[in-house]
Amino acid sequence: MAARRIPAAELFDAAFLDSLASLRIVARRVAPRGRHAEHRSKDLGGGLEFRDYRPYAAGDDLRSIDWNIYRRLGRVFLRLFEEMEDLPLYVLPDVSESAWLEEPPRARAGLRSALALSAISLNQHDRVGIFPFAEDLRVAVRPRAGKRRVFQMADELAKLEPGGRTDFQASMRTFAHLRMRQGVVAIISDFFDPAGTDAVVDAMRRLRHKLLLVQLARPSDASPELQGDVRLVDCETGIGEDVSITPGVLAGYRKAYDAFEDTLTRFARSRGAGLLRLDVEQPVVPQLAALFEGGRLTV
Amino acid sequence: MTFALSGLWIAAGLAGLAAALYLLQRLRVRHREVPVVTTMFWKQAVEETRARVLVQRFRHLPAYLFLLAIASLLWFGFADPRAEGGAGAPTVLLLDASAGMAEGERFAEAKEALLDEARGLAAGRRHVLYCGGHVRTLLAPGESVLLLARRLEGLQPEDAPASLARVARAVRRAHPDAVLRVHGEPAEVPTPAALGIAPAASGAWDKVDLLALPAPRETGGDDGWPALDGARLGAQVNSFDGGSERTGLWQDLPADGGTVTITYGGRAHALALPTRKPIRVSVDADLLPVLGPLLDADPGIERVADEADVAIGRGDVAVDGSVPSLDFVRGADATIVLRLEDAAAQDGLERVARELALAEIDGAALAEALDRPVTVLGEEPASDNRPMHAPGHRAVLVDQALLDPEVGFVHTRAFALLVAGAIRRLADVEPVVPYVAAGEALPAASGAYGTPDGTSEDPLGAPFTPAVVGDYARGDARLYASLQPDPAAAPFRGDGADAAASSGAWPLVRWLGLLVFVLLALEWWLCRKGRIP
Repeated sequence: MAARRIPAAELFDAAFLDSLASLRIVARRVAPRGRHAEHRSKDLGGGLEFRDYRPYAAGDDLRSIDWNIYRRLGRVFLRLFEEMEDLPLYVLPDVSESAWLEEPPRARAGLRSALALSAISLNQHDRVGIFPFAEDLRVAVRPRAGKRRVFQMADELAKLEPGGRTDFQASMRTFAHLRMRQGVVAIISDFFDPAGTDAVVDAMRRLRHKLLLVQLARPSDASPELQGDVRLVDCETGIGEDVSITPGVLAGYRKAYDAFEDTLTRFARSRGAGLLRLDVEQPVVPQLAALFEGGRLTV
Repeated sequence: MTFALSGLWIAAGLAGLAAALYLLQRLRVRHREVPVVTTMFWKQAVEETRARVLVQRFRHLPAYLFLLAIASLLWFGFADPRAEGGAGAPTVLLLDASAGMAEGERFAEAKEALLDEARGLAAGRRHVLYCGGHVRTLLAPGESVLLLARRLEGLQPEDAPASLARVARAVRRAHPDAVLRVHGEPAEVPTPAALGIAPAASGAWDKVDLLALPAPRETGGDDGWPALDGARLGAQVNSFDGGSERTGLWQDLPADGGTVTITYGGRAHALALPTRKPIRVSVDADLLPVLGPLLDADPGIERVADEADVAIGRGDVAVDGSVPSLDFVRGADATIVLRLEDAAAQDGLERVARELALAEIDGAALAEALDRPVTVLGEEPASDNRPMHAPGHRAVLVDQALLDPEVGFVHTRAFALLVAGAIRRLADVEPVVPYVAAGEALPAASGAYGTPDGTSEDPLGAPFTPAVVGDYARGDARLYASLQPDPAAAPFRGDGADAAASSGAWPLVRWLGLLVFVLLALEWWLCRKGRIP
């Protein structure tokens, strides 16, 4: 049985933070009504880059009137500029029992990647919130900005404990009810739900945010090294399944696992979401960096 | 290839193994618990496998076949396979039925083992021999083994020495490539190292001496002490060291056909003493002055007028052809003519000359006295130049000139020995047989013998060999054959070496073992590869 908590010292160190300094998450355009930050927003306001004109209305800032047009056409128009706002990042780490079962536990790589993504967003002045989920989702850290908050994030992640069985439907429903400003939702999970893969995909489809999926996997998921007659006990439900491992059964398993991965891939492609299969037995940052082409991850 | 087990047993064993392994496959498996992150993929996999359950009889058919193959090979190994000794080479099964097999259940177990092995052999190549005092075929090649079972019923070992080595030699001569298999490991039969008789050292004609090695010790009990016709003998008159063992000697026991018994290790052994009656001799009245004192001085001779065993005459009187005679004749072909059965042959002539002490004759002095050479001639008894004697008449002819007092021969020791020897030779007195051991040929006697079971056996000129322990009779002579140890005879064990040699350097069992090892290694490899559970 793996450790039930991941100490903060294991989640990050100076080298870890340095390796993330060059990575950036870039949004094509962020949702309006955000804080001033570095991402192009759908809001029009007082930025530097001209975007459009619109007729003057009472209460508009007179400083935005384009007097040259008024002089030529005799009509009052306002000059509109792009607003630069922040891109909220909502990190949803899976803390169900399955994340803590093996050695090294998936939770270790999951929480390190959660902290890494949080650190990247905090570096670019974006707000980051932590929402761990298992049977349900809870708010561990409300969305906040500030580079220094990375330490708080690490402390909060280190406090996380196993939370029972996985229920994507309930967790995503809870997150949707929080009515967060549209941003990036990073779901860090093995995506194993006793309800099945379709339930997982349906739950994620309800989210109106940009998605970044980090699948916590290990080689034995695709090629289990089991032999003989075994009773496989689901660590989350406690239900046993008597299986006699034969070439036929192994082939059936691989077929089912391939279908699972294919479903995840097709979903990510259909949503334009990023999908990273993270080998939990390998270092996290190099694998994460592969997601950032040229150091940028565009969402 | 043949097996020690019968084909029925092998087939039943294989069927039993297959059934047992099948039942084991059907048993509910106790699964090893393994916690996993999810079972949803396994559920799908198992459901897909279950869909084919109707066409898959066993959960792990390859594993079942592997197990069955390995178990079958081990069963074949247990069945003790043997390669046959080439085309046409018979397997000869020898059943030891010697006296040592009578102890405990040895003989019953040997019969059972013999029957089992015979069942596993091809009918045309098996030959079962009973090796007791008499050797006989229990099952000839081609006969059904059912006959063997019937013939073994009630069969008992004989009171006879082991004949396995002798039979094995005979089989080897007849079939050099035969595979010999022996059933039976006889217990050692306690016997005296030696028990025998000898002509009395005192010279008494009707007495014998008894010798026993090792010398019995007077303990007051019956064990190891000889008895004559049931009466304990007195103290041994002499005992002397015969090397490492002391020898007991009893002198001048009456040679009247009594039986000496002695017990060693709880087993009684017996020895029949010879019967020494005086030889009845009729003498021609003209010869009495010369021969009368001589004959009267001989304790083994009784002078009679009628029904003589030997007649002494002058060769001019026709006598009954059945009475051998010592004739002092004129005009014989030689000084002494031995008209006896074996005198015609050179070695026989020498033996007779020895018995008649002819070497004691001072030939040179006698020749000078006779004024002619002294010659001895051996002839067949059948003769037609003496018409007064019937064909086949046995006789010793001596030149009558030897009786002339002037020749002086009648006063010599050689004459007395010649007359005494000739009479004994003509009377055909059985020699004292030191001992008669079952399985050993009698020293010199031949002819038909009455056996302990009441039949008669005639070796047709060959030395007679008593087969089993018991009383044998030849005419008035009685012999008792006992078990005597033969220090030169090594026990013959039939050796599996025969079978091994015929199947090459490695017996088949080892090849089967090697095959089992290879299968186990292959199973292990497949298991490691995940091909079988």
